[in-house]
Amino acid sequence: MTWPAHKFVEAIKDVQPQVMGLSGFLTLAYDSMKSTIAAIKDAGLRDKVKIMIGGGQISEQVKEYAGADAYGRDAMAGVSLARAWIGGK
Amino acid sequence: MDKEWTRLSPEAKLEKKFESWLMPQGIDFISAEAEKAYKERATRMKDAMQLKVPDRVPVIPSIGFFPAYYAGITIQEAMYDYDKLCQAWRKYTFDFMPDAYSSCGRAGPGKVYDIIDYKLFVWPGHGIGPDTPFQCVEAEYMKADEYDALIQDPSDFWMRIHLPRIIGVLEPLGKLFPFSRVIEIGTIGSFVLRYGRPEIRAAFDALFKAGEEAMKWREAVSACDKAIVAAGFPMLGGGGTRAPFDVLGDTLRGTQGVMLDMYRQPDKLLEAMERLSPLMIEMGVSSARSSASPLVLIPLHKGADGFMSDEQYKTFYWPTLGKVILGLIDQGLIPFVFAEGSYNRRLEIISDLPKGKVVWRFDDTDMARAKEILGDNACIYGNVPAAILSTGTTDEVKAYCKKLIDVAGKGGGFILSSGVIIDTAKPENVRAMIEFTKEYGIYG
Repeated sequence: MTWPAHKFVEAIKDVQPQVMGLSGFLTLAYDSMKSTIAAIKDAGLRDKVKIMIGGGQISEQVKEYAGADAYGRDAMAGVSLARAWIGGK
Repeated sequence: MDKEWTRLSPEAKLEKKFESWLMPQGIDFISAEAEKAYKERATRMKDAMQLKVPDRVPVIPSIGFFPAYYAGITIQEAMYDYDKLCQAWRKYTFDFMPDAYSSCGRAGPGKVYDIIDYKLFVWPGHGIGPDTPFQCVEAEYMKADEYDALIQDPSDFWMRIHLPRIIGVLEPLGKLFPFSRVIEIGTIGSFVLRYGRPEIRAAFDALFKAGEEAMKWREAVSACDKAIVAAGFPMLGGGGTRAPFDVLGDTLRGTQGVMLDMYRQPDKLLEAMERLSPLMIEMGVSSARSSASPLVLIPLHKGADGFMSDEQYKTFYWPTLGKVILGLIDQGLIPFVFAEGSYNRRLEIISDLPKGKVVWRFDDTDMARAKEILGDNACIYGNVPAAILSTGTTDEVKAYCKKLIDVAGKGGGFILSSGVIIDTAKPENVRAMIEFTKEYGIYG
């Protein structure tokens, strides 16, 4: 389901998370991830949050394209990334 | 079906099917060149499917809604305006010249979904924007305690329990009298009585209205498909069916439900899948009947690496999928099994099937290992990543295709395609994939 980028910006201001994840399935998600991360940058919030992207068609190349910090292919990869970033077990 | 057909062996049935694919009935080719090109393309694919060495590697991107994006129409227009739909699919096919054509019918009739108030998916104008392809709304449409109803009478379960939940106008169908209770004269009154209710009449009125619209859509799609075939492009499909596990896991119990059922009620799950297996074979056979192509697409979902263990795959997923595959082969058809995601851990398990009778389409699977393990047994099909096609350069596309042709294309039995549907891929990358394969993929 598509979700407007400003909702993410509002949520970051509101919740102040250490980590944010974007999940997508097919090619359409690439541009939507890119524009969402750009909106977060424009709002001056990019260095406040680590951003991971994930899903079946996500790769290192898409991570670079979208401007995320890391990517994972499944939910467990996301857990490992978050642990490496903020600790916990 | 005539008696002669039912007496044929599976091999003879398949050869007849291939004959009708190579010489399609009711098609007036637009020129002698178009007819020649059609036969070359169909022969090329037949050779690859039957593990022979074709003249070159066939190349067929899996398009999804790419033709709409490429032609500059919205997804909403592709679903509602049949003329624009047809023009976009023609433009894509004639501009890119793939070895096979996928029907524009996949876009689906938006107006029909409107009229029946379809709830299982969202589509442009109904939950999502005009330029986003339809998406499934996953939920527990079948409850955990409804396995017995499904097992006892699947058709009745679908008609009186499932359809009322997923199609708004069919909500009153739960009040209908089960067909299996219409036995002798005393049952007729009760059976017919239900059709006197105004809400049942309204449900059928909506269906009739949707049916009229579906006829218009079907006519437009069929004319468009025929014109493209007549210009020299064989239709890729064929029919379609599903793995029994996915029937339950995708749109009945949902992912969470079916995963819990593997632990909480494994026997019911297994029994339901056994019950569904012959129905899924029949679905594949009857959907392929009117088509020239012998392929029956089986898109796989919940059995991919990472969704379940090897043990669970062997226990729950593979036995009934294997039955469906063998059942289709027995009817002279070629199961076209699409392992979306990664299938690296399943390759050994799926390798035990009759030789040259299945096409395995891979997405994120290691094609070198797939060739090594399945190559003597089945045609493999794939797998240029969507990530490269959407965000990479033409040189990256060509480098990937070169490796693929060198490794997976060795000795034939290979069709080059994208790993998944390409929707918003860059047109120059799609062109590079097709043109590079046409040059570099020549055997001999």
